[in-house]
Amino acid sequence: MTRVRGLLGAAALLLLAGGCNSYHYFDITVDFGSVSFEEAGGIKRCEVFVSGADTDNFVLPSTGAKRVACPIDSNWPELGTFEYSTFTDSGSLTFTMNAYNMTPPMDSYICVSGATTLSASSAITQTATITLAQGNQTCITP
Amino acid sequence: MRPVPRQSRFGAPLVLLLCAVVGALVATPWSSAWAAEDTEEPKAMKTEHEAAPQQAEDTDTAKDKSLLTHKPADDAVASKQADQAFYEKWQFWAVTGGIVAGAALAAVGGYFLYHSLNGGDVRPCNANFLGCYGQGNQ
Repeated sequence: MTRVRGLLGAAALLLLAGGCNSYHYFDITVDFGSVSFEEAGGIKRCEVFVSGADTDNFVLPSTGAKRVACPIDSNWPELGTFEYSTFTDSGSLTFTMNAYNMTPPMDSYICVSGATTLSASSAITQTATITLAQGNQTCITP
Repeated sequence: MRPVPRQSRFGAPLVLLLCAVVGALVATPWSSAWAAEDTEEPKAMKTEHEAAPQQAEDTDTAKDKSLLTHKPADDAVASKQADQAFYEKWQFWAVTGGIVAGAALAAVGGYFLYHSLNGGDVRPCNANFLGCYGQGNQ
């Protein structure tokens, strides 16, 4: 009986050692701001980088997705909203979006970009907006 | 004028003849009237107290003591049961089945508990979003 109790206690400790995680969601809306429709139409690829308390990167949907982000379809002056989920509940999270005028994505191909920073907390859902700004080069390529 | 009732010529002699026949039947010892008479004495009724002891009492005691002793057939069955391998006993399979079922339940329950403690499932992606990324998403 004592052995059974010991095993049950060890199992409970093992489970508790795993921690109790809960999801936190960041709904980020991307706005073209001052970027013109013609410039937005030249974007070939959009990539988001997460830094700070969490690290990640992902590409916004292009062709074939239910909702196409880059190249833009009719989603201007607002590109749309994406959701990022994480277990992080402290520290700051920075979302940076880069838009490229050519592929493969390289820093030298960035024509539009923007970023926003949020403080992770116990809040389940936080919302923010990335306002894009024109970079050093045009998105319109021959 | 009142009508005079008609009288039969054979009325009185016929009545006398019938009375004679009936009297002969009743008076004769071998007649059917005598046979119908019940001359048997009624049997005495038994009371409950008189009848019950005979039903409850079992006087048939076993005089042959060998009937109560173990027979060779009983010993053979007992020895066969004792010689059964452990996997041939139903108790073994009952305990084994219980252990297996308990382990399966513990595994499934542990998985769901662990999954729940680790955040569970990410919430469904809003259809209006461009996409959902990060923990719990692809």
